Amino acid sequence: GKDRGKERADTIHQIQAQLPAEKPALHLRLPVCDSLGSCAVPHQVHAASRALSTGVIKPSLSLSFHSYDRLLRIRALRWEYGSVLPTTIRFHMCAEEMEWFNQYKKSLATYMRSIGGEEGLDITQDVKPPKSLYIEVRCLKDHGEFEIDDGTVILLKKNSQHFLPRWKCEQLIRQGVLEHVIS
Amino acid sequence: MAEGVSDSDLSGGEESREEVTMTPAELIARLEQAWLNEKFSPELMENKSELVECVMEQLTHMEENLQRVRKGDVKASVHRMEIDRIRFVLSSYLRSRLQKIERFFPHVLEKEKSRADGDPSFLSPEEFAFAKEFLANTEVYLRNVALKHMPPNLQSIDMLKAVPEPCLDSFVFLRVKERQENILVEPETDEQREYVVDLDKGSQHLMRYRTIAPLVASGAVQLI
Repeated sequence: GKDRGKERADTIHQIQAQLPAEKPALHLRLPVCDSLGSCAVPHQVHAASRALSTGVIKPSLSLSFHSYDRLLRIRALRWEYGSVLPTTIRFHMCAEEMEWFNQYKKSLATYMRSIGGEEGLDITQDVKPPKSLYIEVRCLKDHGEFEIDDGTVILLKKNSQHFLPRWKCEQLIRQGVLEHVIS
Repeated sequence: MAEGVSDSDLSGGEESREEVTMTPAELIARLEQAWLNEKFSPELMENKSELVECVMEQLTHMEENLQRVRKGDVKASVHRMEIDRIRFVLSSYLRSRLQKIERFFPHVLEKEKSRADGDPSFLSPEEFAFAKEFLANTEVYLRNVALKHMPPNLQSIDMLKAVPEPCLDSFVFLRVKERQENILVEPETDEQREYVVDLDKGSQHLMRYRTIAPLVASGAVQLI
C-alpha cells in the first residue's frame, strides 16, 4: 500500500511552501491531480487546516469546494458505471466518499421506483435518443446465455457477433460486455 | 399516433382538480413541450407529476398492445420504436430535473419550504424527499471530510451561500405561442436604454430567460 505518512508530510510541505511570510494568504492551491486520483483529500484538508488554524490563511471555502468537486465526479460515476463501481475506482475513494455514494444510490433508487406510481422507471437508461431498432454488436467477453424478447436465447461468446435489439444491449454495452459495431 | 391504443382519452391523476381529457397524441406533445422547457431553462420548472403519471400509463398500455401483435409483424417494430422514443423523452425530462435539483439543492429546498399553500409546487413529493436526502448526505460528507478538521469557528457552511443559484440571466431561444405585447427588454450597459418589444405568434427570439420566465410557465412561449 501507499505510504500515507510520507504522502501526508509531502502534502503539508507543498502547502506550507505557498504561505507568504508575514502576510495572510488569500488562496491556497491544493496539490491534487485532475483525475479522481488517490484519495489524499482528508490528508490535504488536515494539512491545510493546520495552516488555517495558525491564522495565516483567511477563512475560505476552497477546501470544502475541493471535496465537493470530488463529490460531483463520484455522482457522475453512478450515472456512468451503474450502482457497482469497478474496484480500480473504489480503491481511489475514501470511506466517507463510499458512504456518500452508497447513500446517493439508495436515494436515487427510491426516487426511480416512485416514478409514475407503479414499478417506476430506470432513468439511468435510455441515455441516447433511439436511432435504430437493431444494432450489430460484438461480444468482448464470455457472458453466457442471453434471452431476447421473443424467447430466443443467444450465446454470448467472446468475439461472436450478433444483430440484436438495441434496448436489450444498452446495459451490456455500458458494462463493456458488448461493443457496438458500426460498419 | 400508435395504432391499437384503445383509450382515446386519458384523464389526469386522481387528485386532478379538473377533468383533463387528452388524446395520446396531445399527451405526448405536452410531454415534449415540458421536456424542452426543462432542458433549456436555467431553473427548475414547475412540477408536472400528473403528466408523468399519464405518460407512464400510456407506456404501459403500449407495451401491453405490443404483446398482442403477432411477432415479426412490421407493426411491432414501429410500436417498439415509438415506445422507446417516448421513454427516452420522459427519462431525459426527469434527468434534467434531477440534475437541477442536485445542482441547486439548497435553493430548491428553500423555495419549496417557503412556498404558500396555494402556489404551484416545483418538486414532486418524491423529488422533495430526494433533495432532502441529498442535502443531508452532502452535509455529513463535508463535515467528516473537511469541516471537522477546521478551526471551530469555521466548522459550518451555509449551503445557501456556498452553492450558486441558477443564472436567470442566461439567454434562451424561444418560440411564441401566444402573442405578447410590451415585453420590457432591459439594458446591459450604461449606453443602452430599455425598450419594449411585441412578440408575435409563431416568431422566434433569443433573449434573457429572466424577462420571459413567467411566459414559459404559463405556456405562452416555448423554449427551443
